[in-house]
Amino acid sequence: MKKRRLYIIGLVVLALAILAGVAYNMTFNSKHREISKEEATFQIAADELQYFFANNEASSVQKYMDEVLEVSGTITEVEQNSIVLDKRVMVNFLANAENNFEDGQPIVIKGRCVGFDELLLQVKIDQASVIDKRHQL
Amino acid sequence: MKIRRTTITITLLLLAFTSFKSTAQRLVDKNGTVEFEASEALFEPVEAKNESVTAVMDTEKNEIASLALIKGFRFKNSLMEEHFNENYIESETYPKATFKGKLIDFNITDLGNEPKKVRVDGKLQLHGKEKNIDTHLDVSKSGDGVVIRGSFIVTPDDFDIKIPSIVKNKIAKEVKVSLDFNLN
Repeated sequence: MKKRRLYIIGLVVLALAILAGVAYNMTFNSKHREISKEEATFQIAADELQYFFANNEASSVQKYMDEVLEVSGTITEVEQNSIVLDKRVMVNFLANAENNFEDGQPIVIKGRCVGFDELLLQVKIDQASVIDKRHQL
Repeated sequence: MKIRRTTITITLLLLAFTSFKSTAQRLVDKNGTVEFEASEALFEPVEAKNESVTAVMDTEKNEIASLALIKGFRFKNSLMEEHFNENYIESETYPKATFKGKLIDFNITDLGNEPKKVRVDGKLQLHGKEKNIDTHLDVSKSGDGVVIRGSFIVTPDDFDIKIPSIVKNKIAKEVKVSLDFNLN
């Protein structure tokens, strides 16, 4: 009888420990979003997106910020791990992305909208990946 | 005679061009780094990094402006990132942090490859509040560009950011903000 009680207590303790472990793991090791695997909420041209932000930043922040966007445009600037589309949208790629970009190349990218940079007058996109390189606009 | 005149005109034009370039210089870094840390010993580190901060410097007026989009700050812990954005800094309402300031007693022509302590005085704006920042940063020359590195301390109170009592002892009272700009 005593043995059985001990057994049950043991089981309960074990269950609680596992539960605590799972909760801890969910809290401290919860995964970041994987933007490249998410479905885009909006498909939009680079100049259009920038136009919205430049004209009404507050409502554009509500609508686009933190959303996954598919943005199309022509590359006007190439930097180490980022490109600029139509001089209006700056795109930062995932750290280990291997890409060869050229000025004047039409492109479609997918990434997370971070907001509007009023110093550069550019919309910023991060965690981007390339959707289509030879997309004709 | 005609050739000489043309030569003089070209020389003058070139001179005008070079002097124009050296006086009205605007240097830009589009992918500057800003980090902040508010960790307490024994608790999970509270730190985040933004690697696409914009910095613009006018080397004639010795002015500097910088802008960081709050959503661009990445934490190791995604839940911490979520809380930071939603509960503390309220990035939907206040999506950016800006700094505008002046480099005091600074002359770009005195600048060498060795970092020099330069006093920077300006205003940091975030969460709808503004705070005066007066600090010394390391400034050095790098090719045609300028490198600015350094750090300063702010507190959540400065910007009216409320930390709930339940996590109060896990977040440091003082937040160390470090920056690394490579302006070209």
